[in-house]
Amino acid sequence: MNILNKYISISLLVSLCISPMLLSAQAKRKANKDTQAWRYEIEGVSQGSQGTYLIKVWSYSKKPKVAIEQSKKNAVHGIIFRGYEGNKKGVQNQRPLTRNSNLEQEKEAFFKDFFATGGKYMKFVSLTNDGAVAAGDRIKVGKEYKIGLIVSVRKDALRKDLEQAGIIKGLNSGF
Amino acid sequence: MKVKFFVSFLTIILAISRFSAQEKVETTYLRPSITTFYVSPSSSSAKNVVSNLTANNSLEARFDKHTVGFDNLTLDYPAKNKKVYFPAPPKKPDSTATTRERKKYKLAYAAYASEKVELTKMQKAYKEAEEKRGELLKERLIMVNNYIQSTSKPVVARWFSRDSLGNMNIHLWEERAHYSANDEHVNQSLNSSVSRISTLGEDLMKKSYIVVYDLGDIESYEDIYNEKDRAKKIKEKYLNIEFKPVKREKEGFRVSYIRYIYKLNFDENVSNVFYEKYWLDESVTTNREEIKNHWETASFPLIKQHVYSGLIEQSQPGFEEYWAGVKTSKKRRSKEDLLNSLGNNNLNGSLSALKKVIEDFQLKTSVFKAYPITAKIGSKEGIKLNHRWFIYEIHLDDEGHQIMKRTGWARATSIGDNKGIATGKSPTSIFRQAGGKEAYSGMLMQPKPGGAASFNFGYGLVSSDQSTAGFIFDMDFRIGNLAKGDFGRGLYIGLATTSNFFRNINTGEIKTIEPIEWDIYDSIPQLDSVSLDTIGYTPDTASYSINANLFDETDSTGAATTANGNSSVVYLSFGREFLLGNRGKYFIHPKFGIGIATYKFNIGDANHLYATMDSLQVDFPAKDLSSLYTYRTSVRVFSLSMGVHLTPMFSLILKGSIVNRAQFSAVYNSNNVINTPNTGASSSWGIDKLKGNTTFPIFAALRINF
Repeated sequence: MNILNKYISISLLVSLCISPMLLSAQAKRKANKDTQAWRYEIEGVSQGSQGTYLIKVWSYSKKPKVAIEQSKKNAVHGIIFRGYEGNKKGVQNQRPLTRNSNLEQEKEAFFKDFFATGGKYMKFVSLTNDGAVAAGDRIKVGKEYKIGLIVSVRKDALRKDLEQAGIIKGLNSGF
Repeated sequence: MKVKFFVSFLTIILAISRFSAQEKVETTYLRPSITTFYVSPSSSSAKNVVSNLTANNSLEARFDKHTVGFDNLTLDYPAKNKKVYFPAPPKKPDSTATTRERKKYKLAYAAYASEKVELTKMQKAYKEAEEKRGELLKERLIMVNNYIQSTSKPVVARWFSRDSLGNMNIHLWEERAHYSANDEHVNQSLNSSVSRISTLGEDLMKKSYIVVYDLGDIESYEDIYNEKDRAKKIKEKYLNIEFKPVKREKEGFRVSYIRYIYKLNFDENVSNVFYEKYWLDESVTTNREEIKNHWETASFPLIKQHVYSGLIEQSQPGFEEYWAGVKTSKKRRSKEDLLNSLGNNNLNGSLSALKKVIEDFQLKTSVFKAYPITAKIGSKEGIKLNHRWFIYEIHLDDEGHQIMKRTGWARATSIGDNKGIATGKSPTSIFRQAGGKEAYSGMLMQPKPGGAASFNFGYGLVSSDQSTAGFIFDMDFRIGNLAKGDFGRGLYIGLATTSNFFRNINTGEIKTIEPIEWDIYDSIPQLDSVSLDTIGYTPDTASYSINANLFDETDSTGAATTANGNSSVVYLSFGREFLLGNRGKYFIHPKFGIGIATYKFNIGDANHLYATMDSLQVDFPAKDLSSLYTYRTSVRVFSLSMGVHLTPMFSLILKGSIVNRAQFSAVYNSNNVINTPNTGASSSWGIDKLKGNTTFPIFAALRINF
């Protein structure tokens, strides 16, 4: 009986210790799952400073924290693969860094590392306003949240990095 | 059916209180600018009123004052016509009237009928004059509207600092934009090659409001009362009653006004026309005269927002009796003084109260970080310590409409001093959440004052002494709203009550320690001293006394004595609410109070108290029985409430108390009342502990906050 109690106690203790880790891992899995779907929208906010784009990226997730975490990743993804439309406030249309619609599949291994949690994409993006969400940029749609964050993407540095890695061709490569 | 109705009603109320649907929720607060103009009669007194109003015009911190060099309008009202009053007909004599009285009535009635004919003619003329005046008033209103429309041009000119040569610039735009910009704007600018701050100026210009006060003629209270007297005098002319002037409640002056609020419509179309036709700066060298000519006829559309009628006055009590009774420190002001100070009012001082009708006047911000909840708003917007703010989450419904759903509420505990130009790292104000769901960055916040008074309704769950339990009704007033320190913030002062009713409880034997005395004439009021003398009583002492049992152990049948009545505890309380956790959903509220505890027995159960005086039975006076059978003592209460905030309005609480009561005494003569031990007094109602006791009742209650 004493041995049984001991086992139960140890099991409870272990469960208590690992449960935060399990929860954290679960959150990360959730974030990655949301990222894999690449559900986001981007829009130009203003003409970015030299070599940057200032964009608002809308990310979706059931958990607002996850959506905020994914915003940076989505922003870089958007700049590489989607580009964005301009607006009446003087923001011009921007084409994606690549025109190859299959690039993501072709270079799957590269982008898997590139967009991994804490991956290289982090070098090219920063949050403005301390990462605070503006009122009106946090909207609950059905059971999930749509979170808008304004980020600055260092598009020149990003292009250079991808060119050097041989992922995309240089602007002058066609000439 | 009733239940169904109640459920539907509650659902609707909850829905209204928690949601507010809009096409798109406006989430940003941009400082509105206010320009004030006056329309007034031409009299020098009216000019003085305008001068006073202008001098006292001060805006709340959330607004920008937009001063322009444009004349106020002087415009008289058409003269008022003298109103025609009709007398009441003379009172017809009844059947007991004398012939002389009847004759007098006939004469009076003939005079009345004759005057009525004349007055009817006069009234016709009055009505015609009023119609003409109505036309003049319409014309005047058109002139006022034209004036209001004309004020938009100087407002626009001021925004662009237009000079005498017609040159414009956007310096004021930039100045205002820099002051209004928050950290979000600044941070975006820092990451942008285009200054976002300057473009903010255009948005600010779209928040231009024009406030016009159209003042009426100054009226003196003396004239107002004189007119009332005239009407009364005419009405009572044939009633054969003495005329009494109306009471001069006030003396002084008053002036009515109409306040118009318009918003400048500087939308894209207007903006395009402005830059095409009217913009001029030093770089423009061609067509300058043509552009200047265009400007002369320029007008900019205004949109009416709100119209309000009000009254300003300078007055004091006008009847002599008042001044006869006042202390010398208060001086009666002269009429000249009252007239000269008419208009010493800040009519623009509470424009923010219009936030429900003018959305731009509503302060709003977003949760910057949580927890503690911080927001980029502060002294620049004039927010107040301890004021309550609601926290909202924006939802998108199936039709794509945005819905504001309240998720929590908080109070400002520290005001950030953000006066000055935003840097991107401006100080934040701190808020303490007081209930609701978890707050996140990006949630919308709006001030919603309230929660200053709370009312608890509940019932005792457990108590060893039912006389300190039963129904509770507490009133608590949040005095902490006035506090600046942390501790004072949640302080309450209040009045707490518990009351209960008892039926057929055993009293045992209860008596007073001292003899009960009473005035013999109260017992036998029908006897005077002479008749008392006849039975040999010398009323040297008017009082009489007995050593009486208030209750005997058993009644006349030999059964234990029982009684009905009620008990209560009333005390003044002081307490503080402590919010628990980040969300403040749960709270504890310790209170200390001092007051009075009472037993009040129905006098139908009272003993027949009497003494004998020779052969005469002297009953205790019936009128004093109630106070003799009411026992009272002082009480000290310490209570600890634990509660949960359900909504800003409703909370559930569980309140445990320590109630300490001292020796009870009869209200009639303050004599202590005591139990005779082992005579069967009910312990569950504390009847056996009249010498004092301590009990521990526990209550459940619903708290309603207003």
